[in-house]
Amino acid sequence: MVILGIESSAVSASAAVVRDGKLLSEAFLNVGLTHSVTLLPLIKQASEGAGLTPEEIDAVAVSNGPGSFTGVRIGVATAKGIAQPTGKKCVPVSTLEAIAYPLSDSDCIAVSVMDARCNQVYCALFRCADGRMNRLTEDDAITLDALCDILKGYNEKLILIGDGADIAYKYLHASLPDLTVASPLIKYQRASSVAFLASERLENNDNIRTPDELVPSYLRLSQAERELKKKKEQ
Amino acid sequence: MLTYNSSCENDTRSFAAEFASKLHGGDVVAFTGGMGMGKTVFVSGCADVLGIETHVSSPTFSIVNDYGGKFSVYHFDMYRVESWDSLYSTGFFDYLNENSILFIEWSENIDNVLPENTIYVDFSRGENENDRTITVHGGDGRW
Repeated sequence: MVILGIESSAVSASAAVVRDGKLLSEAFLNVGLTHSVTLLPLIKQASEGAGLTPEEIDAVAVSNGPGSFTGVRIGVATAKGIAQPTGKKCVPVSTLEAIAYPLSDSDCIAVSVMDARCNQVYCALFRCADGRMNRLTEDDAITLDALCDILKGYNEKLILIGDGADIAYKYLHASLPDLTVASPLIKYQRASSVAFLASERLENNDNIRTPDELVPSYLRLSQAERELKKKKEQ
Repeated sequence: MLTYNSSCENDTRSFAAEFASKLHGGDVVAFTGGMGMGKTVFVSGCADVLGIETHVSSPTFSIVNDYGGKFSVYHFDMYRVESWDSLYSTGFFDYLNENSILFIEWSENIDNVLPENTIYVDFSRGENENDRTITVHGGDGRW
């Protein structure tokens, strides 16, 4: 089984090829939001590096959100475009799950966080042990204060990971002194994680989509706190 | 705070050019003041200084124009942006970064998500038909 992984949900972009549970190639850039220019060349580089033609790919996996509106759309549209002509299987993977994946061998709770702006983060918690991840919370958009309250409920080793890890650490470490941040090598989401998670799904026939069924998963920010528009003066 | 009285488009352009010389990457410029006040003229006045080579026009229908330039300059019109969902789907949050400059017309509609260092440029009418009073403030006290 050959899986092409695509990841462009935030500032970094990457493409990877995984065959039978083994990473063959990966191309990664973290130079700003230029995915409309860089993503296809990254995919080409990863596929050609693995010595594969597009026909030899069995399934296309993509991180379908949450994340940057533009980034998620580019990733999902690209995955659809590659899968559609030959009706390849598509596997949507939560960006937050893909972010946490490199911690699956650690004995900890992975706190996957992305900067959602407006003092909010996209966040999900996973209990990691022995190469397995168990989801503890659903993907959500919450304030850092709300995240703090959630984390206080866990008396285990907590590791922040994702492009929101540093912002979250700065805000939370006074209240949660044992909190740590994942190493820079694994902090950002990678297409290889997306492809590895997809291979597990494909084995279990879990959450597999046709190209038509593949859609982005946007998360609404919590809006109750403030109005978008300036209140008109009476 | 800086106040300037303009009596024609050329005045607005010259004032804008001087204003633009003080801008740097990461700046967000928010316009208020209603229709036909000279917001787009102001942006076109900034164009040369910011190395923009393409034509500046009102992004009323496109929502955002990408001008490139010395910095990455983006010109938004939030007139039709009425909800969080429509703001999110403009990609607005993706454009806020340290290398870009954002000009935002009808910024009243998204006032509560503008960054703390936003530079506000307010237009109001003067005595004569073409007179405008332009008030600049914010930008972490630079104006």
